[in-house]
Amino acid sequence: MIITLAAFLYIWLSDFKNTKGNIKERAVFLLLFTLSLALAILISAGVKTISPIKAIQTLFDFLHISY
Amino acid sequence: MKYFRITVSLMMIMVLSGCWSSRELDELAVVMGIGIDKSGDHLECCTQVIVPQNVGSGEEGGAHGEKPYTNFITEGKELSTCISKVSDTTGKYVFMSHNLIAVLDEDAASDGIYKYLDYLMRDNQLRLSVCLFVTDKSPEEVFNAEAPLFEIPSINLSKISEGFPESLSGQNVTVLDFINNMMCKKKGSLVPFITLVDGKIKVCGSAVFNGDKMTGRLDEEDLKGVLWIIGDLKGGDIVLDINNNTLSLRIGRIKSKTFPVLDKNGEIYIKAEIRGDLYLVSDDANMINTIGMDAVVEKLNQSVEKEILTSLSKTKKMGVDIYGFGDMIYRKNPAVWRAIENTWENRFKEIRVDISADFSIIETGSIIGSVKK
Amino acid sequence: MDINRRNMAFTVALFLGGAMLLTSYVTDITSWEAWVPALLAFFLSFAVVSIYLKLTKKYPEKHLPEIFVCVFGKCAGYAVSWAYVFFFLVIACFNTYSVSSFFVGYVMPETPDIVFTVIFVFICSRAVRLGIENITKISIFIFFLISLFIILNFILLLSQMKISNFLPLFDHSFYEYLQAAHTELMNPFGETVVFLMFADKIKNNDFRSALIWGIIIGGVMLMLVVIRSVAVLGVTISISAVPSYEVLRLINIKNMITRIETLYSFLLLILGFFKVSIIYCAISRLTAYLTGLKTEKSIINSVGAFLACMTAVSFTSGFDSVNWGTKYAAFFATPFVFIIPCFLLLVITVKRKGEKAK
Repeated sequence: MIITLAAFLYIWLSDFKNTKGNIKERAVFLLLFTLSLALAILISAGVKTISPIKAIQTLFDFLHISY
Repeated sequence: MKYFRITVSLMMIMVLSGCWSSRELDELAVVMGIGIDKSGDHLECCTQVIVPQNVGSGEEGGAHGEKPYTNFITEGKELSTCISKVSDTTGKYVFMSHNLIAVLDEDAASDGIYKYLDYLMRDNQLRLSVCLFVTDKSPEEVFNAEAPLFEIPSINLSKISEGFPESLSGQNVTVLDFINNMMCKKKGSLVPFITLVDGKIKVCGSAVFNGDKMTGRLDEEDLKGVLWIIGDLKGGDIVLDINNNTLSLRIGRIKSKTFPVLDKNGEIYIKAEIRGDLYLVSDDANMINTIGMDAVVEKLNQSVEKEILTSLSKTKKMGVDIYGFGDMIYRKNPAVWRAIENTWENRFKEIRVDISADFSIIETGSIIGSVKK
Repeated sequence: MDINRRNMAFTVALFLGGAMLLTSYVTDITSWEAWVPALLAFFLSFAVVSIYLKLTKKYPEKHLPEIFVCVFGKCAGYAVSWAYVFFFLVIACFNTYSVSSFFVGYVMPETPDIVFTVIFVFICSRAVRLGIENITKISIFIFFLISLFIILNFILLLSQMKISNFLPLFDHSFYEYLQAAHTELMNPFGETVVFLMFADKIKNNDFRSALIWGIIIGGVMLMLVVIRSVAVLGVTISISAVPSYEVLRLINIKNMITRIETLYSFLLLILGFFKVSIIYCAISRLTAYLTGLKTEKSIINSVGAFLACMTAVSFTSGFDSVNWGTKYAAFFATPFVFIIPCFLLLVITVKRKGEKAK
């Protein structure tokens, strides 16, 4: 968890100041940053059930689209 | 910020250089050979581990002539359990990457060896070029055998295996070769059979495997006939008996071609063509000059054909297609194979094999005759 | 223009070379005949790529989302583009996982996957920050290094190759060939759709010839690797997790030239790095465009973090990734690689005909 937070601190420190003066850029950065931070915290906490690839597999199995 | 980034990058380099999974040399138990002895329900595994400080021991190195290896005997239900117990004894991480050989006793071989091969293949450290042997002694005795020219018995055995193409005494069978044979169509395998004579290793024929189970043995004489067809021979010696006189010849170059042929009646048979160049090594009775080179070559061809046919009849009785005739038929004509696949075991026993040996003696050595009259 | 034709061509070739880690998805199906679907996919890829080239001809020096917006309008164009972001994320995840699982499995078995994934993505983010132009600049050097290595080990393995390992020919069912060819076509040949994201950085004519030449060179390299693996391993290729790595383990020339598979693992890392960096760059550019940003620099690290997180949850083991690769990946990629570009071309053609009629 500490390493995850440290990594995101690094991302914040390196990129946040580049978004200065541009509201759109700041908003997009914050959105992406929050999203990835939330996902990283969940993974660090051991929640690994959110998997888009597994979701696609389940959908394809339901639709019988697979070899 | 720049210095923060540099610091982070340098920290990353430490991880990238493999510190996490690093193992110092003195923390490793380097395994050179594995021996598997099956007794009842459980396995007894003999693992030959190098003792680095005793390697190259003499007056200067090593600890006063102590052995450069140690054998660890561990017991367990599975091979993986046995090998992991070695680290319990040594306190070191068992490093399998340098493993050269796997020796199986007859009980383990008869029971089926695929479960051991599965472990050897699945392990990311082990290579598929591990040589296989079967023995009638215990693997521990084999790993303690005298190795006059090599310090470590496992290395001795692997060199013996590597030298098989240069002799007519066996076939170098690795894990890859064995698995390949298992995956081929009804093909059996030959694994070198070793025993101990006066504490020294002796190769005495081969163990015959049907699938992954040992079903019989071929002695050295019978094995020669088989090797003419399947062995990737690069050398070897032949002793020819003509009119109670013997000639010795050495194989220079051999090309063996075996292929299935569909005759006019739609019956499939096998054609084996063996061509080779031989060197005359000894002819004290001067047979070359007495009866002529052509006659000697003719007798040689007949002798080799007879040897092959004798081995063929014995192997046919065993009912194991060690030559891979079935696989050859499958590769050349899958449709024909599918028709005969289910009855192949019986067909193999009766299949016609046409053998033609065509040798030439290209070199007679530094003398052109014999002193004897 | 920022990228020249030669650099782009070798980048495409290296992108295709990144599939060397993933040949087991085809060898698992067709075993010793893996070269057949590989060859089939190679030829079919020209048909697929011709669709992309026609798109770039109709909209020269425009990248993919710009083409979508021009053709489908803003709403639909953006929607399809976001779908492509998801597609690129999935293929980036898959490739990142392949690289990290290979290294964790073969080189550093006690290291958790996530460590490799994070560091690998971090390195890719450094490259992406420098821009696609700089990534393509080193492609020629890397390509020659890798080709030299492939040719060298091909020569070293000649003594262990057997022609009989290719027999019998065409013994698998049509369904198996179809599955293998479809899988091989979608990954890696079809993934070259990612280069449409950089069509605005290179002259149109250069882009077209670079893509064609890149596929030819990369395809030949892949074929050589597959043929070498089949010639050495034969029927056992079907049970090998990384056939090209297993094959290199067998090289032993007089006990001197041995254990060169470690060198190969570095080359596989470089190839994986190239592939993931290009897809990562495409994701960043696409996201920046769709969110109205002038440059993607400020979101690169966040996208990388998201990619690393997604990779961490996507697969639990190598078996999962093989399962995805052999059964689902081809179907997932087909709409993005073939159906949508085809539909796009159809709409463009109909629109233009309509305009001409008016």
